[in-house]
Amino acid sequence: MTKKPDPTICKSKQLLVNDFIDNRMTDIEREDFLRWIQNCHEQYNCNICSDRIQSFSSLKVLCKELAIHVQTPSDIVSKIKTQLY
Amino acid sequence: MQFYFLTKRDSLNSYLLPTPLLFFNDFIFQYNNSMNAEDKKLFTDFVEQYHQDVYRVALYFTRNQDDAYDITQETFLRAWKYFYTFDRTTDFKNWILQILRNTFLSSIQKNNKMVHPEKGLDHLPDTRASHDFQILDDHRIDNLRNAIQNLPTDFREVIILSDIEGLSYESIAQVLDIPIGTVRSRLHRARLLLKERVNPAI
Repeated sequence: MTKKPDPTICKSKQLLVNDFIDNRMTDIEREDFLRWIQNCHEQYNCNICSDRIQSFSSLKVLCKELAIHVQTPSDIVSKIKTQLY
Repeated sequence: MQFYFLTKRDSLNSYLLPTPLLFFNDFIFQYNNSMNAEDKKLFTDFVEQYHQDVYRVALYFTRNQDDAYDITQETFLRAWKYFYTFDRTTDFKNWILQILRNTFLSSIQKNNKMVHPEKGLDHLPDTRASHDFQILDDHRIDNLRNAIQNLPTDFREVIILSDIEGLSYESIAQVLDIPIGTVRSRLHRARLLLKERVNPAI
């Protein structure tokens, strides 16, 4: 029977998911976090962090795609310049 | 305001139609004269380089093309006006996005013209039938766009700046004028909410 994860520790780790996918971790922090995830999976059968990494990463990729598809009006630069000069 | 009246030299109409824009244009006109050629060139380059970023964020803030267009112009005019305050050692994109956000908030407060961020989809144009966004076949993208547009303002801002515009936490903190810790926690909650709303499509 697997143990339940400690919700206090778990909560403190939640924000690290974002640090992980936004490349805000040192190599050491990254390894520690990956070990934490592995441990959670093995001891508690918990995949919350790894699932979030996957879904948040997918969201980021989609958001980037979204940015590409916004069309900027072609005359906006000339309109701005007209008002400036 | 009286000062601007006195400095307007050649347009009687401006006295008859004292709109804020005319006052503002007067000020711009004066400032233009004192701006050196190098700064003008630099600013023009910035307009060329960043107008798409500004328009894109404006579109997500205002959620319709016309308002985004107006806000983008107004943002660059304000930036021009205060360009002398811009610290050349910092990132222009952060600075202009900060002005954009303030311009957007001012527009809501003063004109009550923009779509209120919290009103939801009922008040939005059907972007699939308009040219606000290029029509996409991909349902995931479509769902994500709608989900982002319906996020609460605080969450929408961090998602746009982080995941669409690719700004660092530090830059987001600067643009939104909030601590980095707030950016971090807000982004986390925003992503969780976004994940819930688009989950079936991912």
